Amino acid sequence: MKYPTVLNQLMEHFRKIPGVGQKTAERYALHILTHFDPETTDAFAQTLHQLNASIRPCPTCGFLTDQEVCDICRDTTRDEAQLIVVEEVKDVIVFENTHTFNGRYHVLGGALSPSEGIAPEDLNIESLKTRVQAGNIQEMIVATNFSEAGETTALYLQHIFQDHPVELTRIGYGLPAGGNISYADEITLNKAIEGRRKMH
Amino acid sequence: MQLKDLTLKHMRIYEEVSLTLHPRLNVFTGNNAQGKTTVLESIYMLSYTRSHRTTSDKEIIQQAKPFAKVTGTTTNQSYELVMSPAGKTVKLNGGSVDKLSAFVGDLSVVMFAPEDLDLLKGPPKLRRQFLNMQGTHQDRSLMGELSRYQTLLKDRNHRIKQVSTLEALKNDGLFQILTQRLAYSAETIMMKRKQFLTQLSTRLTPIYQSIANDGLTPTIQYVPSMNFYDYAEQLRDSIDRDFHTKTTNLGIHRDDFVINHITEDFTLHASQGQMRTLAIALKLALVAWMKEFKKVIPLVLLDDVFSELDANRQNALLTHLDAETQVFITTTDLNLIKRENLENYSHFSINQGKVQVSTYE
Ligand SMILES: [Zn+2]
Repeated sequence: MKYPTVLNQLMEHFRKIPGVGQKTAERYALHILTHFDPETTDAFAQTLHQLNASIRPCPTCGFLTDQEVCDICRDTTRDEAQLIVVEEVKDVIVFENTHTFNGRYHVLGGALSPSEGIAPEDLNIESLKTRVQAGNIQEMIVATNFSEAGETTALYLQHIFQDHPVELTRIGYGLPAGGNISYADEITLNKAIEGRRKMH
Repeated sequence: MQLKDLTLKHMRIYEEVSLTLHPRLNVFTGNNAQGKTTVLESIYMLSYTRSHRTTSDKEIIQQAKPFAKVTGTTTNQSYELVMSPAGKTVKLNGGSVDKLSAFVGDLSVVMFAPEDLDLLKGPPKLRRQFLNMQGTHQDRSLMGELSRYQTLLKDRNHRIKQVSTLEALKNDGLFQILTQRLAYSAETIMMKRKQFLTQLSTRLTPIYQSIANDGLTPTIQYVPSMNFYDYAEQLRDSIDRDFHTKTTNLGIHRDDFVINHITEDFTLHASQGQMRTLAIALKLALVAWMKEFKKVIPLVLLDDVFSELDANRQNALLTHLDAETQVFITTTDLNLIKRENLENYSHFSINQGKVQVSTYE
């Protein structure tokens, strides 16, 4: 005996989410079917529909936005001189939650790993060059992960900006080797920013 | 170090068996393919998480069974290794361990097996695996460094293939960064390997001499693929060759070592007896090294080798082991072991995965 087609399709969609297996997908799908009232289900579907239509990467920094440019880039009270460079969108949220940094961000969209097919042209590096060449950025705080790919990326940024009038620093203090930025707690992350060191 | 008991479940021929082990000497007898080597293999796996005779876990799991499991307890630790088609999981004192590397080498084991002759005469890959003993047993940071090196090497090799011309490769920033990082990692590993082999060599020579007494003085010589100076420069100088062969030609993944008598390769003119003695002396040197640098007396596993040694070599081997060493021997015939070496021991007679124990005190 099989479930009706639409229910199976819904399960298949859930299974595409990391960490969701057959059983969980089945539970989620049946829960929506039997416990959501029709309005809630419609709202859920609407939200999913809007996701792609309204959200896209900010053309300046790579963070997500439903506007022309993201909230952080539009915020004129933020310091233009300091820029934190991260791998992923979620890393921006991690730094924002520390409430101590008032500069701007740049999201690379990953880290350099030739063996996984990620080369410089696959990352938001050109847009970073454009921002640096505009001339307002004085310090670039490199906050890529402490994985092999993250370290390679940090050194690569140092390499391409060595002749630019921007100071590169690497966060580090208190973060474990091999560690992921997004696993760090706020206190550790604050110390990591304070304890950053020059890369040149 | 002393293993008090050992349980095998669905390991090769064994359905399930629990053994209480003798603190000093355990002898396993039986005809070939009855399961005596499997016992030693299981103990070996509790230390290294892989077999000394196969790379396939599938081969080890008893036919039609979903998993194989080995457990063992020492005076203060318990070890568990489970193999299934989904992979390996390990437990230390009943608790799960995230990374195999946190488990590997906690139990100290040195094995002497017929395969050891290949170590001296076989491909360099075997000797590089032997070099990694240093990381397994003493320097945990070396294990991390080796894994970093492998990642960087893979990345560098991929980058060589991704860039289409030699000129472009020479000017490629990412390639330069990877080369620089690989060089730094290689330097760290080479320094450690050099030190390890020097420490081993100073122990090997007297051990060999006392067993063989043939006037030969074997020493270990490290044969790295790079020289001990500006590592990044050597890698840069190799770029033409790397580009044309589409791989990294220099580095610790091409390392080797040889055993010399004075300046000549020992293995070139050695007799079979001398080779066998050398193989044993090398393992005894490793035992001595572990005692000094790991501060532990390892379990010693003698798989089908003890019976091939004459009385003198049997004695020599045993006199080099500390009195409190726990020894595990497999042999087809108990009579092949000199009587004077059999005083206090347990004898496990193995037939088709069934075990009968007799203990003599
Ligand atoms: Zn933005």
